[in-house]
Amino acid sequence: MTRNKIQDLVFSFMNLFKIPCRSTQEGIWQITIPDSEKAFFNGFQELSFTFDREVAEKHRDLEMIAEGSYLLKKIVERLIGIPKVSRMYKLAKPELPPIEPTEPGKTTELMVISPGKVHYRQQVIFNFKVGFLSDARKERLFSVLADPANHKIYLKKGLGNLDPARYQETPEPGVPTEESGEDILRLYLQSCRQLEAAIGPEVEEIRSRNSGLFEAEFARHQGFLEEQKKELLKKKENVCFHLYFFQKEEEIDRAIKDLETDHERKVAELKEKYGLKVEIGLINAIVLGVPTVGVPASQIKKKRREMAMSQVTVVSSAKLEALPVA
Amino acid sequence: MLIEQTVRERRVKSPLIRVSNVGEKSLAFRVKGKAFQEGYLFLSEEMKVLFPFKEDLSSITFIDEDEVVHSAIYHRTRGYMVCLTFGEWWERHKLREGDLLGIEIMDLSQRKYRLTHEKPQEEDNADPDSDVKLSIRTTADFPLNYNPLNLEVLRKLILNEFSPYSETALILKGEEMNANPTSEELISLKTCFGVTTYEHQIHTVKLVLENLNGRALLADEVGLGKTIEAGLILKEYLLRGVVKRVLILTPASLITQWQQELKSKFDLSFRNHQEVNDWESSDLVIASLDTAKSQKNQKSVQNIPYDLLIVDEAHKLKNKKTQNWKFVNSIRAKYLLMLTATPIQNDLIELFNLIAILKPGLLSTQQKFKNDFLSNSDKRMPKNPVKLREMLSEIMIRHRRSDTLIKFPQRFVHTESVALNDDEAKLYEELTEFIRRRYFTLPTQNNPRGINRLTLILLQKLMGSSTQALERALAKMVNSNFYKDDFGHSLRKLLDMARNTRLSRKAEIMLELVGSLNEKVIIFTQFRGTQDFLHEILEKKGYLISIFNGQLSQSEKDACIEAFRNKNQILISTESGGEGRNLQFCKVMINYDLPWNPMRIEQRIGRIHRLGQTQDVHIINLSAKDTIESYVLELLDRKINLFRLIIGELEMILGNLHSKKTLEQIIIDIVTLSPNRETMKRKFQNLGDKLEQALKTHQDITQAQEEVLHDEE
Repeated sequence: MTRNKIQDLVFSFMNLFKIPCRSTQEGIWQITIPDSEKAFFNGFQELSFTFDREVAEKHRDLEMIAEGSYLLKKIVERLIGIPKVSRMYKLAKPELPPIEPTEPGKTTELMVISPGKVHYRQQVIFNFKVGFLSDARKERLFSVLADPANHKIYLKKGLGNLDPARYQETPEPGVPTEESGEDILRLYLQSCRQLEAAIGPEVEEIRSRNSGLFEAEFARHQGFLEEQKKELLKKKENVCFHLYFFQKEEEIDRAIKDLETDHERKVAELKEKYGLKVEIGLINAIVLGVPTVGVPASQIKKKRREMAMSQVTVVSSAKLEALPVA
Repeated sequence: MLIEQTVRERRVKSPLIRVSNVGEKSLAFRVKGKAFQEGYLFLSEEMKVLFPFKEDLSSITFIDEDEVVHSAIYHRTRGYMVCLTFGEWWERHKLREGDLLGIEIMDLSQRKYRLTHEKPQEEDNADPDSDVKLSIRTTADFPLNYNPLNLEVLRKLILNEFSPYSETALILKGEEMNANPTSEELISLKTCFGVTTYEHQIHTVKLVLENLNGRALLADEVGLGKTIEAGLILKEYLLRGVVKRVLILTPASLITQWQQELKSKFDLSFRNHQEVNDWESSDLVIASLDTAKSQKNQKSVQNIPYDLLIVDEAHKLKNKKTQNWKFVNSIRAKYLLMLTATPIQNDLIELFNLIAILKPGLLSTQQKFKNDFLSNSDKRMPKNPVKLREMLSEIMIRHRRSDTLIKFPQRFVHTESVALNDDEAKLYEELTEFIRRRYFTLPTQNNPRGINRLTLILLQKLMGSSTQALERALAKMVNSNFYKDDFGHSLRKLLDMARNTRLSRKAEIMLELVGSLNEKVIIFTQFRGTQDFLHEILEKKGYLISIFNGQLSQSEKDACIEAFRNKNQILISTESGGEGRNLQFCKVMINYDLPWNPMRIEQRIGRIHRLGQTQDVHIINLSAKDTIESYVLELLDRKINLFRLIIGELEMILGNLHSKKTLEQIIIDIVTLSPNRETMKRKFQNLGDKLEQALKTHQDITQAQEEVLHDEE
């Protein structure tokens, strides 16, 4: 991660939490911490920091913020723990509305489009983070675009960042936004389902690797236990010649039991170490308004019903008109 | 990438729910319409009683009779639940509208419910052999958790609680920043501060992470930076999110050093066990082995599942019959690092015992190991070292200084033994006699008189440093008017003598030395009184001086070091000088006085002579003849070659003394228990012999590592 990105993140964080920040010298900044944020900064009222290692070496009283540093970690952890959703409107020419897929055997429907009308059709981007935790930790970022209008879900690796030049936060005046009627929860669950399918192969790969490692270690532990028990049992056989052989036998039995207990504990540790846990986190969601030609879908259906009613009338008058002329 | 499309042919009709009966923990109901098959369960008021949750959105888990798990989200205000797999369950059980379904609470705190279907309305007339095509989507068959915060995002989405995109984008940036890099990259290298990492250290770290799965014996020769290696591994694991809870066990004398190094070099704040009331409350703890295994703490430590355990000076675990070994073996730890430069001390079995904790079974059983590797004639030399080394390569990493390309500069030691002038000699004798007479009449702890045995020892040390430092301390005691009777009288007499001594010969020699050097010099002293005195006399001679002590603020300390680096010729420092700072631009050091604790001397030397120093280093010791300091210097210089040791060797040598007391304590005992100078000298000689023996043991052990662990050359 380049230093500039870290700087951006830190200054944006300060902005978000209304912490005034000023540059005091080249490479050195100072913040005045409001009361509400004192706990986060361990009780300090002011803090000076730098992003530059050389500056930090010369001024040991500065907090260094760099990749891996404690304060950066705290900032990032705090940010990613904040659930946020946003809505953005695409700056583009209106698109044609999506067509519902044609079922086999049926003819494609013609769609009624009212000229000169535009509306915002809604899509949702869900940004996910998937964590695979076992003896190693991996994280994968995914974004899922759910389009309720055409009932499609698109999954891609990486986060769904928007190009700010192509979107705006407010709609164009006079352009209505369609409420899709699609259940957000359902969309989310469907997205989760796709995600689960997408990560399946990686899960299998990790499990397979871990299983191999576990088996190898387990075999070693098991073999070790068996050998130790064998040695102890052999010792037990010879103990009968000992004066206090009862006592010796008991000691050996206890030793065997201790070995078994220790073995169980170590195997449990191995299972814990190589067992895989997967966690899916929904980082945030972005609702996109896509300018689309025509009226919202709900109005189309109303229009169709109206047209269907008027078509019946037309058929009746056509019958009358079709009387043959000599 | 198009993954799936969902098809809903027509809008779902609002279903009708008819509740048949409601119990305290269960209810039965019938559904009408297709909503349930589409994944929706609309709850009537009676049904909501079974779901008494306050949140707008809740995750609910249903488990059906076949133990299949169905994950649902409950929207409290709208009164419905959505679950993608209700339909699959419906198909699987060939249910129909009007069939009686049941929900029963399994665990309310976990929001887990049993989903059942009761008796069917009519007999099923379908042919049991008919081919019913069901596409049952299996749920994920791996342990999967959804972060509870997910529902908070959904809630905001449903309620249109939108935030500016800049805030959402900021979080995405944070996530990208937090995402793991590929495993080849060591993130910890970017986060070290004031650390030069070497090839062999990076090699060790990568080997531990990639090949040894986090359990290893780090056995580099002394002076190659095992602590740095352990710190890098620790930091790497922390940054990768694999490790959270860490315990470091180390000798008590090294706790502070570890804490300081981890903080200054790795930005990691470890809490000392003394600061921790509850072992569980802190994720990063450092403690002495003795404290951790004590009766008071043992159970607590054993109950905690640590992610990483680091054991320093691990050769203390060489005997598996000891409490140390049994205790460390009983600690639960996913990863384990053991650090020692001498895994073999007297017997190969010691190595076996260390490995038995790290990777039990690697060297088979003890009996088999003895049969395979131990020779009858020599307990340290293995019968087939090649095979042993091959097995050890799975768990142990060892580098020698000769294996690295690092240039280790030499230390040159010069001792100036200075005769005290007459005034000083008389004062010295008087003070030493006073302390001898008074020492055992005083308590060990503070008392209302404000003076105890340690105070007297301090006066002795002050005298060994300079009469100016002694004078300052005596003046304070006398001016307090606290001391009456003959005690106070003695103090006043000593003060008068101190005030009337001429400039000490030691100071004159020091001025001559500095005058002859044409480069930067660090002068170390234990006491502010001596520091001020040296500052005064050197300044009078026109030298540019930086003064460093514990009273300075952080920024003042920074400025002081910078001034020494860029402008001033001399730095006069107390013991706090330069900890964690790079002073290797200087290669000459004068010990104006000598602490009785050799570790402190080692730390002074370590400011300028450590891994990374490219020039040879000169150490000049000033001591007054026939004083305790001269006996101490004799011990440390002649007997154990302190000033020529590699950093880290001293601890190992002192460890071979096998004494419960520190060397400083032994010296204090000699000073205070000797009735006269001759007895004191004799006792110092005996101590010297023991130290010599400790050095020899150390050399033998070092030789053993060479023979066993490395190819013959």
